[in-house]
Amino acid sequence: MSEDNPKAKHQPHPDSRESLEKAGYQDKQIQDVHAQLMREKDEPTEGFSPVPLFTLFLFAIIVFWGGVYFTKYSGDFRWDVYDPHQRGESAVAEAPAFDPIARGSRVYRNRCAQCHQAEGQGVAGVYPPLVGTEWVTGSDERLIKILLHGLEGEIVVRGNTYNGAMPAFGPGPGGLNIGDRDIGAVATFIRQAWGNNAEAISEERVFEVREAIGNRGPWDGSELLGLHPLSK
Amino acid sequence: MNNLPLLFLGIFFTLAFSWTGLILTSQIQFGGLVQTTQQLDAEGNLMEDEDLFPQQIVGLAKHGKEVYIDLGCMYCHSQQVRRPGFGADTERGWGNRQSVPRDYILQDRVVLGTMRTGPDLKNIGDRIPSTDWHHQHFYNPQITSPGSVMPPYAFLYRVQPIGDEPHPNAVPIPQSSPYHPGPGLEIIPTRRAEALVAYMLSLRLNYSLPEAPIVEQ
Amino acid sequence: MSNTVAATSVQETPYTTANPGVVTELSRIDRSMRGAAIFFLISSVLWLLIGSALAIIAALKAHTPDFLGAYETLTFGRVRSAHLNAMVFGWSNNAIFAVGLWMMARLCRNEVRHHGMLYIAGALWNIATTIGIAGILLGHSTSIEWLEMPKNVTPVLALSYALIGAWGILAFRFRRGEHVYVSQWYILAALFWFPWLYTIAQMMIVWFPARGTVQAITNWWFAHNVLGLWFTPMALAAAYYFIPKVLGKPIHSYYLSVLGFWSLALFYNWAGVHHLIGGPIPVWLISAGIVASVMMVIPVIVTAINHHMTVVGSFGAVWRSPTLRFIVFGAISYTAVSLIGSAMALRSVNVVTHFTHFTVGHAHHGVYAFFTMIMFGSIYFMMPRLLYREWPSATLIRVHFWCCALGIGIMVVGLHVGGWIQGMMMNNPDIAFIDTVIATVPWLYSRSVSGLLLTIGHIAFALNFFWMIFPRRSASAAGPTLLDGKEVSA
Repeated sequence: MSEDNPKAKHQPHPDSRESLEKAGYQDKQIQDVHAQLMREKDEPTEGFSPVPLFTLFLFAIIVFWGGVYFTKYSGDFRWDVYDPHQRGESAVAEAPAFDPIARGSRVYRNRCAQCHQAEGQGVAGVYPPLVGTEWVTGSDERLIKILLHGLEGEIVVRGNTYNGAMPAFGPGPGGLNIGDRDIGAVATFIRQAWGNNAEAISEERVFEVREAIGNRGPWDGSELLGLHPLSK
Repeated sequence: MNNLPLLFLGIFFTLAFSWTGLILTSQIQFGGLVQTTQQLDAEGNLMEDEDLFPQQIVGLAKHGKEVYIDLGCMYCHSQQVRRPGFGADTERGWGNRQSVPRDYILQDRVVLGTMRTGPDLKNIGDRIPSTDWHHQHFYNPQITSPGSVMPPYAFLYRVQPIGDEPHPNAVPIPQSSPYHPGPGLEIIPTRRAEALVAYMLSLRLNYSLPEAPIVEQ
Repeated sequence: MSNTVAATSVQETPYTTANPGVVTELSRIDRSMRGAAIFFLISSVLWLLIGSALAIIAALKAHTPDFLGAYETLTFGRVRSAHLNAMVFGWSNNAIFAVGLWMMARLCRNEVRHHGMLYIAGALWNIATTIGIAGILLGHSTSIEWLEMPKNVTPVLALSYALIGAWGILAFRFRRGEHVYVSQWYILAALFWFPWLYTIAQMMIVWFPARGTVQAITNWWFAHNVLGLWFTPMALAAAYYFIPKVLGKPIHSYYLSVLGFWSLALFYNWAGVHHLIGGPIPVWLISAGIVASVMMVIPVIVTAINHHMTVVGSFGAVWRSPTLRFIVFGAISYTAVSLIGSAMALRSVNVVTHFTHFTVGHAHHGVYAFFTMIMFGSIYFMMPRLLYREWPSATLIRVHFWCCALGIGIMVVGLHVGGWIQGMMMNNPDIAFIDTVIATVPWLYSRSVSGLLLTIGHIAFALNFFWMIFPRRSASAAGPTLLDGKEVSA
């Protein structure tokens, strides 16, 4: 019933562009110019194959999973729940046995290695080395004081002069508030790593030194050496 | 599909649904958080005479954040700490607890970042508190972190001949370092460099919040 | 009565190119889009070259930080954003404007009227994009991912988009023919979604910032949806148009098309939050994003079946036709990248891949291997119809295809492997952070190699493209430019 075709309904005027184009359509030259169009296949249409059953089955499973997952990890839709496993009272985990070397190694990597470098070699002229120096392996009290309160002024380590500012890691004002146990652990670590070999420093020893001094600003290099001279 | 009203409504409602569900709900649920004390009293009220957290960064550090934004630092550095047990963020010292929405409420622009080509910086001020370290690191990261792929920010520094006596703010780089500009020269941070370092030092996640207490280990 | 007309016009006198009237009509529609489409395509190809140059600089800097290290303008954080914006707002959007509007006009069977407005809007768009990218390089970046352009150019972008999008919607409004084809649903939806996303994101992050991490949620709702509700629908519309068009077969199943469209519209919307897994937002939001991301498996499988069943049996034609070779590559990549994306949203996988180069590889997998390849294929079909000329060189098309296919393959594999290693190392606190950086360097080199390959491909494409527009000798209709010379429509 091509009469019903809206395109066929109105016969174009013989001089209209449309009818001229239709006439030209037969022309060889126009066909060449429009070669790209002439070879074109139909505009896309749709087939009507049914949806495969297995996909519907698969989707049902995914939707079910989604519902379960969302319910389980919704944190009761609270704004202040950030752990998907948080449900009521969280079980208090048994604290693992404290290993000062392992702990000290981690504290060192997070807090100290940026300056003193991974192997304690330091950066020549800027950050003193921790390997093979009495500053580390000598007096435990001197080392604890440096860690707790920081150190400024000129010091000589393994023949090089340094004039930096070691920050205070103890609890005092401006300090970074690392606990006695971690101070002891990291001190023990640097005294025993990379070929250093000195006795460990306990949490109690750190506490003792800290209590004896109280809060104070950073030590000056010469002041500290006056209290605890190097052996040479 | 020839049912056009349905098509239009569907297009409209799918986006409206997600916007309502994700953004509007968030805005209502935690878009109005305010500062608080680290702990609350038994009734859930703020403790009296205690500092409020998080604290606003001010002055030079605020200017430093603009430098951080214009240089695009956040494309390599995140500022968010994942909870203990999900990644190793806290074990790396990037924070003592997970960061939570309230930590960001005073920031005009939140630069959480989604990339850790470099380490997280939410707690960098606590982790590396040394001004000198940051200046050396910005001038050329190889000085402090050999092997880093962070670009040098030497353009934030001025190299000038040393005058009668060394400039008090000169960045301490030893003469022997291959990154030292040469004898008789010193490296002076520009104001932008000073600001960026001040911003770094202001980034600290060392306080508790009622919903995110720091648990001593 | 109208039902009878519809039925007869579709079924008894099919809308077929065997009918001279239909060819005449298509010819007139193509001609009405000609100027505007060529304008957008030239812009997009120029942006593609600029974006590639920026990409190479960024890629080299990522492993050799001293490269051009003295220039603040070209510091990594800026050049990387400039690359992204050049590709998103320059290349991709201009290509979408050309391909999307042209498909829309053809499917609506109506000429584009007053296309002069498209030149004005397009010029505005490209001027604003240029200023925006210059702004990023000069230090005015907002550091909001996918919205880096300085605040003041965004109203211009929005305005010019409004004009261009309006033309697509007007074309639909004055469509002829009864049936609305699946490509039209996607184009219509995308034309509507993109401005809404863009306006809300600008408002809630830049102009009137929401408080705290609500900004971050808005940011990822926007950025992920630019891919999901703008690039993806446009590329799928093109795949749905060109696969049956070139093969001369109907698309496999209308029902699958419907299911795919609505499940995409429903689930993609919510998926963006998976960029914040482990981040400072409540856990329910993250879980919602994860569920939606996994649900994306449904539209992806549906679309994959629909395309595959249409193509099946015609692989020879797919290989010969430049259009289909690129488009089918893109369609296969869509399946792959989406399934990987759903997996990456799972917490147990995300804890490794988040914050690593894995995500960067994934983003390129989606935007390049899927979207960009489909746009290339579409342009290979459109240009001969717009210019009444053939592509000058099949060799250049082959170079283009192989460089891009290999290049993106190397990038995706390299960054996925490198990123996975990086993530595993980063989650082990006993490994120093700097070692995670050093471990990725070889993989970053592989990205630079892939970037070079892609750039060579783009140059081959651009040569062919401009050679076609400005032919040195008169290009006669020597038959379609095919990749092995046998007869099939390009």
